[in-house]
Amino acid sequence: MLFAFALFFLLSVLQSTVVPFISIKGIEPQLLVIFVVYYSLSLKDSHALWFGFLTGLLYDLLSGGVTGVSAFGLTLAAFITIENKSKFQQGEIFSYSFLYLIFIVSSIYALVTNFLNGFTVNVLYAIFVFGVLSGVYTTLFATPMLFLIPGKKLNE
Amino acid sequence: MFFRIFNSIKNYLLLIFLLVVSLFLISRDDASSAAKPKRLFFGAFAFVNSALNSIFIEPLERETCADAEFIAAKLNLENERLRILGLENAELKELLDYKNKSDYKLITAKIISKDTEPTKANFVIDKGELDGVSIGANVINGKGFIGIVTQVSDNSAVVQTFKNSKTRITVQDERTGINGLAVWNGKDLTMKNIPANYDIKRGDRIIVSPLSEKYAPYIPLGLVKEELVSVSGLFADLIIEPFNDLNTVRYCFVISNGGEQNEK
Repeated sequence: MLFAFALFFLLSVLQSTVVPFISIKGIEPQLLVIFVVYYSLSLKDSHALWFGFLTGLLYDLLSGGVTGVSAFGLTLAAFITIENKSKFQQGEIFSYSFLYLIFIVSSIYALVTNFLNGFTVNVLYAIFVFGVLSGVYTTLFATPMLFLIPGKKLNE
Repeated sequence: MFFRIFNSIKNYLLLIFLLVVSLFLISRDDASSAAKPKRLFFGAFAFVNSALNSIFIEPLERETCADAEFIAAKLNLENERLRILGLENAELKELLDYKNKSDYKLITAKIISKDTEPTKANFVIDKGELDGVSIGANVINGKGFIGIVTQVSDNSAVVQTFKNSKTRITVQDERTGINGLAVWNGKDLTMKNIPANYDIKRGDRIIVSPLSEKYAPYIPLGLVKEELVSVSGLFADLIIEPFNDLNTVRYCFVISNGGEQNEK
């Protein structure tokens, strides 16, 4: 758990310092979504939900954003992940199912958090730009994990 | 039987509980009781970010960068003052007492972290209460308006930028003097519901209005890029192209309300 906390802290720093430099028109990879999806696959269902919630809450407090927005989004991310655990039949976390899950979860996360922050643009634009493009960008970031950490099992 | 049903829905119950708690926290975000823990957490995080910046990023930057930005910001304010003097008559100048208002004290600050999501662009800067930064202070740079300080700790502060959907700025078309409200909608900075027959042209400079109580007046914000007339033809939304690209900004200046002299 100490490792998870250290990793969370590192990702939070990267998200708020380095990631803005590679954002495209405000669309940026969601490192914490990858983090929560990965741990939610390894944890018990109820623990995964608490994990998502607390990760989001801590990030809200650290980043100075609206408290509760990331908590809401990452709780939802953890829930979608545990509902899709069955897709990982081979037991391996880093498979194409993982990338699919990252895409779905990060798209929904970006859409929900931007909605809670109060966008007033056209809904279709929001779904495509805030949701899909953000999902694609995050998935691109998660792709190297397939090759760098192969063979990791669900129950490890 | 009961336990079996409970077990099958317990994840849903927990999900609903956590989502309701999150929504409650969102609704209480502006409450004063939430300010203290937030100040403590982001202050500590800003300290770590600042330390990492000074170790890894600052050595790669030129020393003169902040100085050049400072001079640019000062010249920009002066330029805006002279522009107004040229546009307005002497009587109006006297009424507005603009000279006094332009004696801004600028505090140089480095942006140590950014949240650049489409609807909530916030910065954390390395200057706080001990440096004279207070909640409500305006933040600018050489190109113009950036945002307003919304949270402050001893050595850092959170800046809510104009690319945050919570920011509402009273702005003015510099050429015609028409006032309006600029809001970030997640995609564009828009000046909403301006009567369509008003004389506003593409390329007009938009500045912070002197009518604004919250923002320092006459700070440039952007240029009118497009006019979107509503279906009825009565009103129009103006799309403003901001002078500042928030993704590339590294330094900024906090306008302190405290002093008369300009300091760094």
